[in-house]
Amino acid sequence: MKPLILALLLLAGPALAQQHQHAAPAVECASLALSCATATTPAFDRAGRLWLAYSAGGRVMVTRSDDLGRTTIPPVAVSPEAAAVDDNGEARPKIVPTRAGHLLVAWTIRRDRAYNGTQLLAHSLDDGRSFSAPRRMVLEETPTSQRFESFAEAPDGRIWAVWLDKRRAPTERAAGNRGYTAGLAVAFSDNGGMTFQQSRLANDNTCECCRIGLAFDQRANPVLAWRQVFGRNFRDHAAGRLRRDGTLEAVHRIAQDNWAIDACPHHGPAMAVDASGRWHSAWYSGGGDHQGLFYAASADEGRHFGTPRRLGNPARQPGHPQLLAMGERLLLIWQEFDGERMRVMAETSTDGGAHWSAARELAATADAADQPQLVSNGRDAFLSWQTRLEGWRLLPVPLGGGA
Amino acid sequence: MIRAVLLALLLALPAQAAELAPFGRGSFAALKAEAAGAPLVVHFWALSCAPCLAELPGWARLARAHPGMRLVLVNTDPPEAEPQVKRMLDRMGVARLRNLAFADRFAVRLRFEVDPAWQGELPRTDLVGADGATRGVLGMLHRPELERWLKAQSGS
Repeated sequence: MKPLILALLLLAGPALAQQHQHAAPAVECASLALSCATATTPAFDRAGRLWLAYSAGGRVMVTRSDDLGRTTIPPVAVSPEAAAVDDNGEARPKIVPTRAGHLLVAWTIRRDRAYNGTQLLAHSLDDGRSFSAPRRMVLEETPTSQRFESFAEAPDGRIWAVWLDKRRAPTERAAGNRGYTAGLAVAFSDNGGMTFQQSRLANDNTCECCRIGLAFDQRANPVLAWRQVFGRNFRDHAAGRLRRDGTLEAVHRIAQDNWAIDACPHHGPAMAVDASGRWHSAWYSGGGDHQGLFYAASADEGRHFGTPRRLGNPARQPGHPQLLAMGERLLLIWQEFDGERMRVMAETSTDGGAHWSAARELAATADAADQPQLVSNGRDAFLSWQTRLEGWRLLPVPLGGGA
Repeated sequence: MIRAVLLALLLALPAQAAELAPFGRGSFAALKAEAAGAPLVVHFWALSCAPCLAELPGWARLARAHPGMRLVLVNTDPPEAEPQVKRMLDRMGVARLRNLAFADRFAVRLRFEVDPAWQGELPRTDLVGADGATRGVLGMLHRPELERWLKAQSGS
């Protein structure tokens, strides 16, 4: 045991030195190390090991921590060469450790000046020691643009992918519809992500640059939240559940914010489903009838959402929320910025969202930061956060209440 | 008045085509201070923003139509995007306008200096009046709206 600790200390030495270098002014990070990551996405496997997919230097990398974030193993490159990886916070590489014990990594490459995206997928069958060559996640006859994928394994083992898709844009443009945005596409895999069924558009006229919130209900059906273009140009939020065939049961408007804007908000919603089947969502609206960050829940599977509750300090740009449900316990986080420091704020509920704690600060940084991520090993909840000064960190977040 | 217009013209002339000056901490305040007494239009855009790219060529036409208007384009992409940004400015015919680019990866802090409520939505245009009063417009700026503002400025 002692030699192991010594080895870990030795390995940690250079990492610490590197962090001090980061505190020095404006030395650009050029290595493929986790400390240089732009966007880092966590996922626990069934053995309680934490996998991280991240982008650095145009590459997609994977590493793992077996001790809840204290140390990480040397990273392995998933993408063979540097490329324009979509890693702007809303878009990020993702990793799914499957129940079969394999790893799936998905990311998007911006392949041209018009920011058309291609979604790629690679897998590892040897516990992350090596990865397959990247392949297109979904095969379309005439690929246009696929971006902002959300990607997860349902409790029944099916892999679901949802993303924003431009396949109808050429037709719409030809028909003179210059205001056409994008559609919500769905694909799934019943063989652990090795191949995906032909994808379909589940909905049309979505906003084109906001991540999609994805959760699963008790029957393992995906429940989504996304920014939809309602009416002529209201970029408000919708929620809906997918059927087994990938079609949407219905589109429910979460709130009437009436934010009309010809712009890319780059600000997508969060979705979680608790053990009682309540849907919880948090989202940002930049104007219209409501400006700010909001939370609302639905007890009837999206048909009605409660009155939106404002989150955070309105003078500190509250935004980019994440939600996590563990039984009846809920964790809701978002980021706030006061002009100098970026903070991760949190509220918790132990009764399915009926009551919430006061907001409290979980972490802060004084330089650039990735959007904060939530991850759970089924027993405890953690904040995973990549920041320029501190590198990557994992913080346990006590939820209170019984398990 | 003529002298002011001439001065504005001189200041608006770019030193070189497709030059990308840094937009860092204090840059927005500096632009406003430098423009004191003349209306200033600061337009923020990024490569990833489709409405921005649709709008970009229009700024060259607008600058020609209003030679007295001080116009600054600010790109908000990360620093490593500089070659693509320069190519896009060339392609859109706006390389000869005054172009700046975010020079700090801590973009949220730069945005906060422009407007504490700005969460990064693009495109965004800030209209700075002769009296320093600033109005931020999110989304595409429709030309009649800008023309009305410019007319009000010249009347004040």
